Amino acid sequence: MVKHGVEAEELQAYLDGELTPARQTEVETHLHECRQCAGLLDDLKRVSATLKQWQVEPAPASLRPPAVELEKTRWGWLRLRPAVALAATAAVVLVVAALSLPNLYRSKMTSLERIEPRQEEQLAYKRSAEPAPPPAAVPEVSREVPSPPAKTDAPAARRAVLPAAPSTVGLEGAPAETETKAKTYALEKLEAKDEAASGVAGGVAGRRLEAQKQAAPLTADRVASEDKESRAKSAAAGEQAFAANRQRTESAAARRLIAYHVYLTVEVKEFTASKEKVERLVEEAGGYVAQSSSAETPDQPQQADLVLRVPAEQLQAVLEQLRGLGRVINEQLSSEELTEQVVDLEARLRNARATEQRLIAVLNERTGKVRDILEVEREIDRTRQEIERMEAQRQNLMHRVELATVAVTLLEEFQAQLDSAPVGTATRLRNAFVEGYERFAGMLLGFVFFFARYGLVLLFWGGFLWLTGRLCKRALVRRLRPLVDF
Amino acid sequence: MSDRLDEELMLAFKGGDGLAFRELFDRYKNSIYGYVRRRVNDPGRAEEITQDVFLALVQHRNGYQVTASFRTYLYRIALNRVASEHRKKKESDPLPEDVPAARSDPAVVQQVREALAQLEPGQREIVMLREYEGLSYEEIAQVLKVPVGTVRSRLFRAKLALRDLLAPRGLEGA
Repeated sequence: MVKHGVEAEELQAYLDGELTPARQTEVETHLHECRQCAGLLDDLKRVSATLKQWQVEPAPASLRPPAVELEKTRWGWLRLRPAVALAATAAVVLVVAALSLPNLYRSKMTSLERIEPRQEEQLAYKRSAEPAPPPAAVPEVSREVPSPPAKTDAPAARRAVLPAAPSTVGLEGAPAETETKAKTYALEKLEAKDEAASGVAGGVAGRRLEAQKQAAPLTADRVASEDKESRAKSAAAGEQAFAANRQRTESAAARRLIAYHVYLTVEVKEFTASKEKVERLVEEAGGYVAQSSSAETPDQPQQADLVLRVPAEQLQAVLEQLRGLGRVINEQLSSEELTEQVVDLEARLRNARATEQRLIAVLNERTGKVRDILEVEREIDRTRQEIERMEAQRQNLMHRVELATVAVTLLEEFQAQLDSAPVGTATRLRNAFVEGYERFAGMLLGFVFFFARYGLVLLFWGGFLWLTGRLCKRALVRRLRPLVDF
Repeated sequence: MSDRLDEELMLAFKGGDGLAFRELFDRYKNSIYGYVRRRVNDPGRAEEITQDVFLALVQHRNGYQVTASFRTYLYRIALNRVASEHRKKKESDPLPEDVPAARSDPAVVQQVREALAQLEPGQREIVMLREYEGLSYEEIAQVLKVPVGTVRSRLFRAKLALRDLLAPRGLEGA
């Protein structure tokens, strides 16, 4: 077609009047000469005519020009100014955050408070459950007799609550003497029960004697009202016990009773031999192995934990030999002074025995009602049980003094060894699969926990930000689109 | 209707002349509606989009500058709005299935639509802008942002393709 001097494309441009006037004339001239180009031009005209048959209806009457002013005054400012929309969004976010944060904080505080008051309540309960502290006004006896446990102070506390001391009442001889006597008698009965229960019969018996000495008229009166003779004997027995108690206290206090505890960690080369040596050594020293445990794990040094009871006089010698087993890694020595506890226990024991003797004497000599006899027998039983319990305690304390406790840890000197039997490939593969499965399950669980914990919060903020972003984007696109185009 | 140019009216509207906008609206409402209607299936939606095109004209009147003809400016907005509509509806076929036809044989119109639908998008848009909107090559180039030479060559090829597509159906020259 080029040979025609007119390009085919120019025919369409000619048809559309898009050529320069000069070119338009040239093409027109050519068309008169060239049938082929004229035919093509006709084709193009026919195509255009066919296309033109697709006509659409005019714009409907309902299509009205946009309300310019209305748009401008109502929401136009928002569409025209994305910055304003962004600022408003930021303000909403801040308000929501300001409203939600205190709630979150409060909920956290509430959960803490929910725990703390409970702990406070528990502490208060513990405090109330604890025995009351001993009263300030302690009788003189307490200075001579080792201080009893807190429980034994309950009668003294009761006495402190009473309106007047027995001695004062006895000296004054007030009209309320009868009532006061009754109170004192009731108090002493209570004391007797408490003493039997708490195992301080002897100590209190001593205190009672002291009180009897100070309030002679009252004691005499009470003895006369009951059984003068037996009471006098009891008093005499109690006095003897009290004297013996003082004597024993002084003698026991003269020697110190100390229980020793030693913690020793030794690294040894020959583990089994060292362990056997320790056991032999303790046996030779007259002690014994109270507890023994050992652990053996692959690729780890062996370890044995032994608790030895060694005669106190042999302690130093045994320790020297234990240190010689290998390298001492750790050594701690602690001691516990038991003198006071033993002295106190012995005193109470003797007093209890004296009480027992006195009660037996009362039982032998008394001729009264069966009920009273039975009451005395029950009292004797209780006293005996208490004596046995205290004896066991004393024995235990003395055992702790006589036999020192040595906790020895033997550590084998670790020597790494070549693994002669490597794990098979199948086993390793299986282990790898198991490990992988565990990790995968852990990861899934982690995801689940994460979404359970933060899912709702993320959903809320994600949705909020997505909506905000979409609105902003729409506003921005509407504003910028024509400007971008041109 | 005055004999003022489109650009003059637009500048007047930019200066606050509401009547100028009204005149522009009356001049182009049918053209823009027709342009949209040939590309959107729903007449109601076509009306909304047309309204939207003029609304954009109002909103961005302050940014208008006479760097191009008003027609290309307006058709560019319409083109963007229609493209946005197609994106939103995820429509691959840019021509409506329910072909609108006024004073025409529906069967012929359907054949024309099918033939146009077979063209490449670039060619189709050029043919339609030329045949139905009557835009010059220069204006088409500005609307579509392609060189004028490209418009000319694509238009010619599109017409040849349409000739071949319509001829077997006996529609050519109907």
